[in-house]
Amino acid sequence: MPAKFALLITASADKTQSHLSAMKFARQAVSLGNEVETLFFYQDATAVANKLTLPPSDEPQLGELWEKLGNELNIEIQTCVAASYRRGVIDKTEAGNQAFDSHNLRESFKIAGLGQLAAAMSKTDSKLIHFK
Amino acid sequence: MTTTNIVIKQPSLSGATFKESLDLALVCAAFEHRVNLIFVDRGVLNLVTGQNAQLVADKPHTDLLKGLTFYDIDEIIVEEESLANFQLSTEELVKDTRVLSRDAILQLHSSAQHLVCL
Repeated sequence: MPAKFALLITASADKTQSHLSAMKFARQAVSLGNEVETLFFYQDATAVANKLTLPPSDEPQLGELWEKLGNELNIEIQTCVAASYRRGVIDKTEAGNQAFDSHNLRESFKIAGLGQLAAAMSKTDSKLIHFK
Repeated sequence: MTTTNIVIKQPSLSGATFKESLDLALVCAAFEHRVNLIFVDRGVLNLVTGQNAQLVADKPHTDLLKGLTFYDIDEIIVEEESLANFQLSTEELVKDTRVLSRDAILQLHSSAQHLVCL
């Protein structure tokens, strides 16, 4: 029977290996016929959703890699609203509310509440895998 | 019912981990998870009363724990060995803490559906 996974990613953007491991896990799980239902970014991982980051050219651009994975597997990438705003990752709507002159949330990331993670965890057949 | 164990290892004044763990605990409880909030290692320092968080422009974090009962998180679990490492007794901690040994906490983990340590 295929397994269902919810992935919680909290590793900061400089913990490249954690992010790459999470991506590998997601791809491998799906390729084996399992389902990744939720990708949820919390704590320092939310900084990956900032499109105004410029890592050195010989290092991976994690935000782009996550967007590619989300599109490839057709999974919504959710980033916690409070954790994102605390770390300066702002979507267009909130930038308008606060009269900020710009916003920086990557297009493939969706602002979400912790409730969406809790709801994913409530499913009895879903396993939570945490990358930190 | 989903049982979620949330382990706090970090002291409150060294970053947002304590608050973000607590936020997750409250939201999980609001989604009717049975939440075990477990303090281990330096995390036990969150529970010591008489700290003045205002000195570092923060809110009294022990006040945040008072709201837990409204979400049916009735007790706070503290690891016995961690308390001993810091030479702390329950009299120095906030009310309604339940001291459990490391082995007893491992038992709790084995029966929980989810274990999160931010």
